[in-house]
Amino acid sequence: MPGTTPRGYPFPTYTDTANFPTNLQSLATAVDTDVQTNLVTAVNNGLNQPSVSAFTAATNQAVINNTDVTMTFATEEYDNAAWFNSGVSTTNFTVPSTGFYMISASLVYDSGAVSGRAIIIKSNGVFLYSKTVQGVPYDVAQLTSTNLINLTAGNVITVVGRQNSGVTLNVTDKRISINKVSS
Amino acid sequence: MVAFTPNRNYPYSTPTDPADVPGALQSFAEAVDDDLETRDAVINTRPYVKLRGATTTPVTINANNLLPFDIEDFDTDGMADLTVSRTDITIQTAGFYWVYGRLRIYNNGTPPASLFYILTLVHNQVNAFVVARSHIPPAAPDYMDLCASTGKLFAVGDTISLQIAHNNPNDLNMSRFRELAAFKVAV
Repeated sequence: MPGTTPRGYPFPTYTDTANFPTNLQSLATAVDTDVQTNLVTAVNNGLNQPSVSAFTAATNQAVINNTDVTMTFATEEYDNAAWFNSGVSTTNFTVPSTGFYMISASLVYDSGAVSGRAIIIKSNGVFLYSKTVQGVPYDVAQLTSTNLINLTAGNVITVVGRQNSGVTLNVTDKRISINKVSS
Repeated sequence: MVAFTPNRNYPYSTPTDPADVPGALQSFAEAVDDDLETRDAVINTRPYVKLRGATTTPVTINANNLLPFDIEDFDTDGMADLTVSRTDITIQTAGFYWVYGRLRIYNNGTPPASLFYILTLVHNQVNAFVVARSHIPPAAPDYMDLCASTGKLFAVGDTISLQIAHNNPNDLNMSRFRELAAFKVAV
């Protein structure tokens, strides 16, 4: 009766009937399947982690004073895992598989009164993390926020703007990128 | 006639082949060896690069200053050559990359009231794709750190650089704490 290695590769034992071509074919086929399934596919997946990048340039979106406003995105630059479908939603990025992700997002606010300008990342509408800078009257405010987060397949990631200048301010440019770094 | 496995093309003998156990085993073993060696190379040459500064460098006011780098921490894909360019990373393998830039600067005098510092990740030395902009109120001399990062799709030959602009009329230096890094995360 043939034996097998821990990875399931078959080999003849001394009590087996000698049949070298069949033995070699069985071994070659088993190694072929193992390498293809457990090495090549795994390596290719590891080198092509689920990633997305989208942006909107030079287009105003109003952010009402002291109000969370979900940002919309017009251009999908890269998407290898069906994260974003602007025909369905221009705000939502759906996590394709559970794992550890790096998220980076940036906003550009028009100038306004000295006060906070924030970028907030939410999952399923729930706060994940944020970054706030002080805006000024003489210049735009540009901020980028990056974090590493555990996410679950199906989570919907959104980018939210919020500011407290006392009046509505426009966000003119937005960018988000998300990529999986580990399962 | 020798047959081959369906996925990896490993050879094996069939019953009609002349009996040659050593030859058949050698052909199979060499095919597996070559295949695994190729896979190993793919894993170990994933593109990564990181550049750092080593010296303090003046920053010209009201101009876009590309940051010069002095040290190549690592580079698995020939993306940087500081003898050719001290400012640029050049993409050698197309794909989706994570890019990170950081700079620490120092005010040598009291800043003006309407101060700005703009750190920009730049594509092909022209197109800004991520900007970190900061303002600080007039105060005593102090350090300031700016960081910018994002994921972006690049083609072979594209360059990535890091740029600083400011309107501080006092002498301003970028510290040695400046970094530019990129690594490929998807095909």
